[in-house]
Amino acid sequence: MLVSLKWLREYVDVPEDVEAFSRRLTMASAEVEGLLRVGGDWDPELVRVGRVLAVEPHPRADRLRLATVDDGAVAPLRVICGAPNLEVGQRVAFAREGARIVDGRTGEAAVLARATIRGVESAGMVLSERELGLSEEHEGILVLPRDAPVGEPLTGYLGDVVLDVHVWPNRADLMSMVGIAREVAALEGGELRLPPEGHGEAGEPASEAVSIRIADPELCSRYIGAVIEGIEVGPSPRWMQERLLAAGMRPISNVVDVTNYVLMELGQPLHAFDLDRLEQRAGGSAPRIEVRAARRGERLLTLDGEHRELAPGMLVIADQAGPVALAGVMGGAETEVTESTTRILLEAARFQPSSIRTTSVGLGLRSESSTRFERGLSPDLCGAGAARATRLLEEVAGGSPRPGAVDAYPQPPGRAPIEVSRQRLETVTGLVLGEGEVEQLLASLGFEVLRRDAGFVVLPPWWRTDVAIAEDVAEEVVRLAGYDRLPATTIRGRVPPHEPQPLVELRERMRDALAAAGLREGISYSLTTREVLERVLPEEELQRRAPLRLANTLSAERELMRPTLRHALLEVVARNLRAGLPEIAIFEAARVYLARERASDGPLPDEREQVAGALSGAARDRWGMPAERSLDFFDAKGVLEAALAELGVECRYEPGEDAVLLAGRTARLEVGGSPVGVVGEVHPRVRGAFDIEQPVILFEIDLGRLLPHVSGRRLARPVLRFPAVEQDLAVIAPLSVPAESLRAAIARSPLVSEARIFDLYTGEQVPPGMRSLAFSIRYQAPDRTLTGEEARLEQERIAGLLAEEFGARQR
Amino acid sequence: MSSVEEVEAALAEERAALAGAGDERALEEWRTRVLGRSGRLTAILRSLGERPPELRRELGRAANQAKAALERDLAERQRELAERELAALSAGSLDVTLPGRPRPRGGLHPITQTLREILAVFSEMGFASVEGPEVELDRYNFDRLRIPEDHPARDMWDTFWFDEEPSGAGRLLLRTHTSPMQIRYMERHEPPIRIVVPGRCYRYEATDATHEWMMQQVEVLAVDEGISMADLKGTLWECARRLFGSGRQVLLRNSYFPFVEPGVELAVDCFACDGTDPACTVCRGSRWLEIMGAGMVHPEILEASGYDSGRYTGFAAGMGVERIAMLRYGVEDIRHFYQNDLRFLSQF
Repeated sequence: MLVSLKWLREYVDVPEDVEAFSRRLTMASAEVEGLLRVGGDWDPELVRVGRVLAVEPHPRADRLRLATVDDGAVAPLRVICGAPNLEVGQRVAFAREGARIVDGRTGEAAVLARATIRGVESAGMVLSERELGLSEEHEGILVLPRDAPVGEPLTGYLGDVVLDVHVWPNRADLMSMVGIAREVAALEGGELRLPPEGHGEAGEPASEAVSIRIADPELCSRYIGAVIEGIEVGPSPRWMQERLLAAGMRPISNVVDVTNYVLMELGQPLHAFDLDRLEQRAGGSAPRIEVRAARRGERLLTLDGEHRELAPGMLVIADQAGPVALAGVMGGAETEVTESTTRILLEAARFQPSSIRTTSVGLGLRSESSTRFERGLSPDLCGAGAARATRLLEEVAGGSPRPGAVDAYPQPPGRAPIEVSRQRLETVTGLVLGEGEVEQLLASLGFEVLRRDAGFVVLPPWWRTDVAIAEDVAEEVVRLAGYDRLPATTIRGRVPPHEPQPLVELRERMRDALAAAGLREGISYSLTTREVLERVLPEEELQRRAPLRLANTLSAERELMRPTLRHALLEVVARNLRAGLPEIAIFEAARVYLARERASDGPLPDEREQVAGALSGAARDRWGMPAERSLDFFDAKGVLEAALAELGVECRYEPGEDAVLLAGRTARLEVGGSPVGVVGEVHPRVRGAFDIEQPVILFEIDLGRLLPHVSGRRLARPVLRFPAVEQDLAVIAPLSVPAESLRAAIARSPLVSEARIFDLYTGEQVPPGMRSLAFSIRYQAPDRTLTGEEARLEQERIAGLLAEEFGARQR
Repeated sequence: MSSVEEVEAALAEERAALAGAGDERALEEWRTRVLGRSGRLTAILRSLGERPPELRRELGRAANQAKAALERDLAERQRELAERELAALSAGSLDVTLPGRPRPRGGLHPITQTLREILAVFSEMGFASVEGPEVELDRYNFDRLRIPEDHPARDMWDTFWFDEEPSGAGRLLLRTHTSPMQIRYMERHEPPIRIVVPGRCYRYEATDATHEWMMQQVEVLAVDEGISMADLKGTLWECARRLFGSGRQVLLRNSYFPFVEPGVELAVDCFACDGTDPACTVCRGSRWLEIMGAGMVHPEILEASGYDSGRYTGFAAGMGVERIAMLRYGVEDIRHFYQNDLRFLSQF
């Protein structure tokens, strides 16, 4: 909300130090998001209210004139002026040489310089609104009211400070100048000056001219209809227009401006109907206004020229002939106030917030009125609003009010007192205050406070519709007392029992393990597109388990919840390759989202913790430079081996298949006999879809599947103390025999404590279809020193076994 | 037959040989050949028994003296060689300014690192870390947090919605904050409660330098008998001190979230300028950096979870991890975090 301090000062004193004042308001009440100084640049010595003493033609320029202006200085000044609306006697905004103004042509800040145009010197200027930085208006000069004091600095006369105040959605009462003024009075200790209310009355009672019925008091708890006659529609006075402009509203006509003015001043939305039009619709009789829900098939031509089909449930103002306004949202065109209007029905009502919100959000018609109704206004405000607007219509539109506005108020609610115990107050706020201080703080906000044995009974003022329970009262106390008075303590109670979160813990350990193995962690978006998913998931998979689709997206890139991490990693690889990075080794640990397969699984989708990684590019040489060798399958496998060893997991790598990975270059990860993931080289077709022209190795592990195999407890094995015998064994084995099968067979010997592959060879000395594999074997017994002879015999046995089981003969 | 002359000749000869032994191995060979079990001098000493007694004494003395001399020489030679080796080692044969052999260097995302620090602070104060679903029911994300559909407070959270509407359960959405986990946790636990809830959240809004549509939050919830706003202040202050420095001050100011009452915003004084520089690029001269929203858990939330709000009170807080990471690392644009440019990530 825009708050003009000039306007606000009518109701309450505002400290001169505007910044400190804004901070206090922000601390206790509502955030001041911006501070605009109107005329802050106007030098009080150089920019003043002037009076045009004389206007003469420029001797050598048809369109220019010479104005002699008195700005209170010793001698009047003669300046050149091109404005068509300049006249003798006008009060104007006048600047002398050296003043900071806005250049009328460029709109940029400028310093007014002495100029000579066609032989006439000019050392000042009569200013337009644009040159003052007030608006874009530059057709003519700004003409000030006739009573503007000549010689007064313009910054004092026209300057203002406008605060942009963000009011929390619960504070309906702060959405007005008087509401802010009340808050300021409480904060600064000043006195509140409410606007005058009374007005004259003439003619028959209003109830003769109109009747009002509320069909559903739930939807509309109060509806006041005031009848004002003798109206002369025209422009509103300058002061009213200035204030509306400062509040960000456009002046329209005196009647509309009065409703908007009261909306801004008191926060009560108002609507004016043309009463003659209503009477015409009622066939010449008194209109019977009804506040009710719209009926099926009803239509309304609204003020914005739209023919609207009304949905049942929308709250409307109707007469005998049907709807005339969408309650609280927008009026109807037929009963709109026009230039020829002389009699009006002025509406001040209290509509149910949720009804207004549903209708205004549904129709996309948010307005200053609807945003106030939505927050929940007090029905008490209707009376104040109607009375104030009636008085202003009398003042500025020549209106003559009928006595006794019609007030439909079927069930005035009582105000509920709130019991607030001292103990509650102290627990919630953490602040121990004297009873007198509590009373004084609350009283300053308009609360009525009674002391009770153990605390207070508090009656909130009628405008505070947000205060209902003791905690609400506690907030009032603490925000006014100041949060800086709160002590800082720590929780004293019992620490709740620990509940292990094994999956989360596994994910975090996996993050550490992969980072330690040399991978960099990335975090990518959870949403993607179908087109991207099609690159990494087979069509039948996308069909079978359709990814969750958003109903509203800001961009096509955020359409589907990702059921995999694969595309994200390939996108990261592609992006970094484009950036020219030679080596990429990255992982992400995040959730994937799978639609539930059965309704019985609950309403929420399956969010699975996964980890996936990608390696691509050149390995590094001794200098850290890209080496000849590219990162390959075994680099990725090495990362996984290191990471899984870190987690204490024994993993088998079996030849596997995967839609995205190359057959023959893919391994399935098996832990404890069940598959937990996959690692392999990405199919050129798939990486091609991401514009990647070099091999990429991808891995993926489902942490939920891995979890049961991660033992919480690692048992220590005794260190073998007796000396070991090291022997090498080289065999020539068929290519079809996995190396791990041979190694595992060797390791199975009770006398072998470790068996490792250390050489692999295919070539001239090896027959086709075969390869040479060399193992380094450590023979060691747990209970004695093994002799070389024992080791030799065991190695012979093993060699025999390899020959028999795998057709591998010793070299 | 050896004579004293011969012993002396051997002594001179072997001394010369020793001087010519240039390394550890040559010394060991020399020792074995001369002083070893079947070495030259040992042989002379062994043969003493075969000598006439008068000769034996003279020869024995000479041989023993020669042996002792050679042993001394050997020790001296060993020392010399060790010194020479050391001198060679330290003679600058390594250019220590050459780069080390590179090891693959991985690392955690700056958001993960920041998140872990936040969780660690609360862990030390007895808060357990729990996680909840990102795809939520509107009931948990809004209604049960006192944000009904027809209330303007809903405008505070722009939401990604799903079409799916599991029968009877309400509509699905991407959670806009981690607060739904307050409700989910209280449904299944009794006080005392101390939890932190990290996780991804989503907002239906355009991105700019300070707004992302995906972000990570940490929710804080403590419920017990006698928890006050002073506890809120003390606990969150401790968090701010740990993240931004032990001397930091905090400021609470009035705010509004439907699920707390009173509601506050917490700011920490600027760690970059200590609130002294009007041109500070971190706090933009405002001195205070807002880092989280907080408040006392609304009694209706406690009651709806089956807690006696007359007996129990609590506080809740929520903070954006990106915001804190941006401040700590001096990252000027939030969009850097999720672009996964390794040139950015490898700085952390």
